[in-house]
Amino acid sequence: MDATTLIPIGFGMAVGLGAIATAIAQARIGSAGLGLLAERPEMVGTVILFLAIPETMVILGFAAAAMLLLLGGGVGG
Amino acid sequence: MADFDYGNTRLRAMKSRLIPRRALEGLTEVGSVQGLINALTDTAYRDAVEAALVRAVGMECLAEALRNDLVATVGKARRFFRDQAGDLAALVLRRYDLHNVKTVLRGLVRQVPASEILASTLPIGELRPVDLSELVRSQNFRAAIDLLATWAAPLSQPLLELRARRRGEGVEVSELELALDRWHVHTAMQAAREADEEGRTLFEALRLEADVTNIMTALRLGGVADAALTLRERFGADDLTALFVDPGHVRFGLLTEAVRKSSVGEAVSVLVGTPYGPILASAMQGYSATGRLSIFERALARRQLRHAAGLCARDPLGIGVLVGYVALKTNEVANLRAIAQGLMLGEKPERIRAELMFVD
Repeated sequence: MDATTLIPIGFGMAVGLGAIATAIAQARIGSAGLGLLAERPEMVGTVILFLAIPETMVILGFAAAAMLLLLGGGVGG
Repeated sequence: MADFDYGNTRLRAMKSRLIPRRALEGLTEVGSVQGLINALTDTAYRDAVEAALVRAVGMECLAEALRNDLVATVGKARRFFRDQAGDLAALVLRRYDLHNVKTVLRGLVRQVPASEILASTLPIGELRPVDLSELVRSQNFRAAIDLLATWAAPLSQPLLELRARRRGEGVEVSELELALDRWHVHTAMQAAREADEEGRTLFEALRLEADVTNIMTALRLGGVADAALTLRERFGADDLTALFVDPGHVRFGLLTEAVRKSSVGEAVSVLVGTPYGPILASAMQGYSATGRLSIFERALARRQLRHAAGLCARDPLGIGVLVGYVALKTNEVANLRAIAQGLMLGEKPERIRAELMFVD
């Protein structure tokens, strides 16, 4: 198996695993956030902020995957 | 893995609305029950107080407001959890079912009016207000047990078993209460143990609860001249362990030895080597001066409260938050009742404050 075959697999893993981890984190934060909003609706801003933080995982995964594609010769190679 | 995320966050938000110690102590200086009612309208009790003011005034209003608030806040906590978390939450709140059934049985035996019995119940567990209304309309306590059995309520199991064992003989309410307590502790400990990691916190809390119950039983009987004889006459059993619920940290051997002692002081000396030794030794000084067993009860209750309150921090992702919240909320209501009674009797603020119980 050559490097050009591995690059798309690496891209998929970087984005996919990041997305799965984000989903797990957001499910728990979302559940807890709804609990908080049921009692303290004024905390909506804080809940949205905490809910957005795990997004960084999938964004970083995407950035790593894009670098792999662009710098590793995965595009137009 | 049990899902406590939603419920625990909600409970923590509810915990933040509990009245802080300083504010609660400040309520001892409001001067009258009416002053206390007015002060409570600035707290989380506002809705409950305003609803109660429509129907009653003074102490009656306050009692109704505190009861309704406790039922509303702790009662809704049951709906926060599902599946395994829901089963554990149901175990925590089952003590209210026990309280309600005992209240109904006692009320029926003493022929207390149905409305008065109902006012003393706390429909927080599985038995709903409509169930309790039907239960108090039973002709006598035997009919109430039969009704529970018809509903297939798990609580009826120990009552039916006891009645079957004592066929042909009368059964006293105290025996039924003991059977209920023994069944509750035994089955709850078993369920908590089977829940593995998730149930460990609850198991520890139940062991503490069992110890407190058993120690108080031992101390009460420690002062009775011939406890074994009394037991035989009253319960028809020679085995002293029949008096206790499943043991926590304090084994049956020590408890029965304490019961056989001829005085409370000697009973305490038997239990001094247990984890509760320092608390009992400290309370013994107060008991020697006053002769009141409630001093031990209060000291052990404080230990139980501290343990439960600490669970919010020690088990933030498990059932500990519910155990802690229920203990803190119940204690807050008890403190408010103590303040109201003190104000009604015209006690001085410092005297009322001495009756309050706090975690720190």
